[in-house]
Amino acid sequence: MISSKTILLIEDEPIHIEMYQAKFEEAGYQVMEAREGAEAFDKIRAQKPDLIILDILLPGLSGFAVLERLKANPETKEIPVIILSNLSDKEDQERGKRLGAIRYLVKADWTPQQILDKVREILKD
Amino acid sequence: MDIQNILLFVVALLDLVLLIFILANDFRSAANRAYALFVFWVILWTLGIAFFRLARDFRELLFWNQEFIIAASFIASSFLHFAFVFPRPSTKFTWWKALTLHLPNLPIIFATLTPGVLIAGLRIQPWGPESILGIGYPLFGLYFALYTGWAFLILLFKHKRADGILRRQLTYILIGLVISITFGVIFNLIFILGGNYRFIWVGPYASFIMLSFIGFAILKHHLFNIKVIATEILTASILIILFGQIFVAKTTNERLLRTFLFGLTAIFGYLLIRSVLAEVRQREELQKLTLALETANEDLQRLDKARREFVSIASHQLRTPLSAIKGFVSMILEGSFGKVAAKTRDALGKVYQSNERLVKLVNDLLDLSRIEAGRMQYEFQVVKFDEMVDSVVDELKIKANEKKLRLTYTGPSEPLPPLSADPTKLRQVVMNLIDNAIKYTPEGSVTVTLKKRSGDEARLEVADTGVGLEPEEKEHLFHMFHRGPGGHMFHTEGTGLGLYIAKKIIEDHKGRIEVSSPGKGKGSRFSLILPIQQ
Repeated sequence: MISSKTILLIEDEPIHIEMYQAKFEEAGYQVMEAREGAEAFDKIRAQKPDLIILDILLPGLSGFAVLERLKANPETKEIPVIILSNLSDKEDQERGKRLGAIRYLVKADWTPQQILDKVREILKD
Repeated sequence: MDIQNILLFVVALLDLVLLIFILANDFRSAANRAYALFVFWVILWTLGIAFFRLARDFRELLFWNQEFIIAASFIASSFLHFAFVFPRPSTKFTWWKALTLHLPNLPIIFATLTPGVLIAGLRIQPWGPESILGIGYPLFGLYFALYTGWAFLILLFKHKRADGILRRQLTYILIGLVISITFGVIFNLIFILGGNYRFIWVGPYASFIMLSFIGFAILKHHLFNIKVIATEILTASILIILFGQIFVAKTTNERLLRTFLFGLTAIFGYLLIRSVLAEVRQREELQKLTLALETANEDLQRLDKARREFVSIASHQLRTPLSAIKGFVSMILEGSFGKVAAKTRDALGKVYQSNERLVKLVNDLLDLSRIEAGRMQYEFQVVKFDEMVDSVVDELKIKANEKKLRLTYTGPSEPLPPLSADPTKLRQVVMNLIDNAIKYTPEGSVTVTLKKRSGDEARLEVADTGVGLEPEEKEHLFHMFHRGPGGHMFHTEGTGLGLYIAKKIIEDHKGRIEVSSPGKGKGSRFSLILPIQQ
């Protein structure tokens, strides 16, 4: 199943970027990466992604702040956002959902393939 | 001697007691000394008025009149002096500045002693003697008003900038001051200026109120409460009046009765003050304890927050490499990086399983830390328990097959009513129980049964033909870091926390976990009982 859809990966851990990027590209997605919030907004302005995967602990703006801005902007508020983080506190999960994330996934609980399955489900691919 | 005069002497006496008390309390304090000087002039003024009212001839009248005017003049300057040095003198307030404050008294003494300037003459009225004011008297009144007004402003300014005990002290001083200034200005300045001498005895009484307030403020650094002062002043006033009544009694019987009344009131007044004091002290003690508790509580909350943040960040840091291992190994096994030889696949499978154990350990430790802090949070929803058990059994079928165990599930004969539970946590428990059964059963079967029991309970039973339990082991089973008896022999997968966490979760669902085993090597049966809300 080859798709030409674009995924923006907002993540600062290089090994994780490499890993998820490989998995998504293997499935035919085009992957953009941003290591922090400001870079992410630049990338989105240049090309609007079909889905965003967002880490929480980032240098500069936190993932929550990025999510809040994405949802406040009419241009970007329709883009589905999956939070993918190793923070698992209930408070964080609730906050993510409240701010409009479509899913909150704890990295260590899912293999890249399982995460890919969820992305496909959301993008209906 | 009339009652007013008796009371004037009583007030002078009480003022003297106050003076000695304050000086004895701290002789070296500049504020205490200034206060003592102030009280000294108030006493002379009070006595002057008393003797003026008693005087028989012109010479005596003139002498006491001059005396109390001069004393009043010093009252104003020494009060201003006190205002400057309370609670402690600033370094700028030097001794020559203090001396300068008292300088206006010199011309006033001169004016008082010069006939016609302040006192133009004297006359006896039916209510007592009075002086005919000289042309300079309004000027004297102005000086008095300016000095007390200045002192009042200084204290008001200090009150504004103070906090804590000092602020409360100043509050009392200002209250006392307002009361006595109001009375003093009305009866001893305006009335006298208007030629009315009838009420000159009111001022000294009022001054006593102020002196008590100030004395109290100085003595009690940990000012109790207005309640205590009010009680003390009330009792003192009643006692003064009763004491005066003794002297104006007409018969011996009456005098005896009044003395008895005075004594009785004194005793009850004393007891009253003591009980109010005790009550106030108790309340203070209570306040202190409450404050200590509040501080301790804040400290605990800070600690708890620090601990929570630490656990949260530490688990995050642990998971970062774990998720990379999990991700890459799973991708290698899925063939993302090319074909994998069977041997390598087998070895990588073990890496993956070991890593999964670490992931589970981090999750369990997080759960544990939440349970220990009483912060485990649940999201209760309507849960179809039979479907949940079915899916868990399905998921574990592969694992049972690998060990060649028979894993069977028998659902309830009629559909179970939905129950209220946190689906993620309840699933975690069910998974844990069945997974344990597989783990500790070398051969044979694991039988899972779900049924409705006695109308309002759902009972899930997980029975195996595994290693079984010694009777004494059942007790320790749900403790932290306990491992199954054969655990160290057959398996190395457990974290030792699973059953402990499971028990806590089920207890928070108002349910219970029971275990039974016919003995070692004879298998065991775990039962999970949950209430069904109708």
